[in-house]
Amino acid sequence: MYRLLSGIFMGWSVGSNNSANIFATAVFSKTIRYRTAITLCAIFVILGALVEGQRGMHTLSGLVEQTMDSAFIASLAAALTVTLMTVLRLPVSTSQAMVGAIIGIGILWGEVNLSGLTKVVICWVGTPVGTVIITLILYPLIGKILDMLPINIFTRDYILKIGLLTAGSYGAYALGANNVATVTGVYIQTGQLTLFQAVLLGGASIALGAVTYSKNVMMTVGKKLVKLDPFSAFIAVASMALVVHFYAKVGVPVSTSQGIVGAVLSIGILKGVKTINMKTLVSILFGWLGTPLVALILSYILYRVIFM
Amino acid sequence: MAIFWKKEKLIINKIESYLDQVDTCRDMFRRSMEELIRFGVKKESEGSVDLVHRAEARADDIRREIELDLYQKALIPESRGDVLGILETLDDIPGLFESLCYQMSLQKIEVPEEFKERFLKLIDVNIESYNLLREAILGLFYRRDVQDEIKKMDEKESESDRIERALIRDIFDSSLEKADKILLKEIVVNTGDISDLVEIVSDRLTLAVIKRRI
Repeated sequence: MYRLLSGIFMGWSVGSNNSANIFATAVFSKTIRYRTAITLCAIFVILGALVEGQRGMHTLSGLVEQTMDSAFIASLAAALTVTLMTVLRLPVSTSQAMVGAIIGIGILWGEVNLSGLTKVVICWVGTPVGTVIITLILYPLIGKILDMLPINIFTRDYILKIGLLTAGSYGAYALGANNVATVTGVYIQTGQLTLFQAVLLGGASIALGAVTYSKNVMMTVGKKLVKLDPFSAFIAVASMALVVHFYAKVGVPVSTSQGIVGAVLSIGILKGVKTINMKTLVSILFGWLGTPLVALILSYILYRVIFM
Repeated sequence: MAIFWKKEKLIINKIESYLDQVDTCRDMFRRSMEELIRFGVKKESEGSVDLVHRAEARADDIRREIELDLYQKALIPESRGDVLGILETLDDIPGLFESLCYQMSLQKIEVPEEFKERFLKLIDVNIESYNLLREAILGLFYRRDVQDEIKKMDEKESESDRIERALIRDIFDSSLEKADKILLKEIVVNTGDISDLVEIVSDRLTLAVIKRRI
């Protein structure tokens, strides 16, 4: 049973790191309070996990055959990696961490399902690219509609606030639907959890991470990369949510971090590249490259030291 | 939803009543200045100057109420800052109405016959400039396009500058005492400041509109 603790730890680290991607822009454009944001996040993450979280489970468990011990180590290594990145205030991909950790064990055993891995890697690239494209379409389109509406400053603010709450809740739902597989997917294959238990435990632990330790990464996404106005924040979150939800339907766990960073960058491009904080961008990119690598090395070492 | 509309309506009503109060102050100012210019400073002028002061004080009270309402989360912070900035800068205008009346009455400024009509014209152009600003501010709360008013305000400001310069030149060409010339010049310059203030508020308004254009 102790093996499940690493899964809960992993869920907590997903929540603490990835929930920032959903509401950071809204919180730091001061449109939504932090407390409201994390409450909505927790509720919709669990809902997304319960309703649509099952698909991604099979993709991850198909990469490498898991045992109870390997599932424990993979979760532990991925969670440690994500927590390290959270402490460094970097929004990273928890699914990349998990895949890196699973591959680490696969390398040790000499067995990795390369075709499954290819699908996952293609989707990783597709996530930021997808949000960049969707943001480039949504921003001028919805902007034009909003400009044409004969509304006053109060109504405009109200529409944006509701838009941010809706897009954020949808984003949290997509996070739950997509990333719960990353958290507890490995335990289904080992038979430690049923599908329902895995989804529920995964969703709840992500929600816990969002509620307890998500502020630091929110700072990086919402404040340091590009300063966002409420409209841009709404478009960024909506684009991210659409893309991540799409991958939840496809059944591939992807990164909300890469999704939101793609969207925020896209807005930076639309508003002029000078608005992008390149230093922050470089550190985020470093986090992306480092995450699967650190998780891979950690799981390799941990499994070797503890179980071999 | 209903709470939002109620809150919005309440604040817009208060902003309207603030603008109405500034209008009252404007009308009192116009009447008081005309009395002072046409008939000179008399004991009974104090009454009309006092009315301007009271109208200004009431406008101040309403503005403070609006500020409080806005701070109670009526708008998102970015918009709140814009609206508060516009109202605070606008509030200098009734303040100027009041101080111009005091300047005339306390300094006992006598306007020579040959300058009276042009001085009144200067006041009217500046009041027209404020009237346009009022419409533009309401535009921000009711509809989006305020470009027309902004353009006209700019024209009024230029007209005010032209009248102001011509008046100052003629004042210093006249046979008045130097001290009287300086007092007259100051009141003329200060009257022209109304349209300068209008321009400052109008710039803030333009920024607020541009910021919201996507």
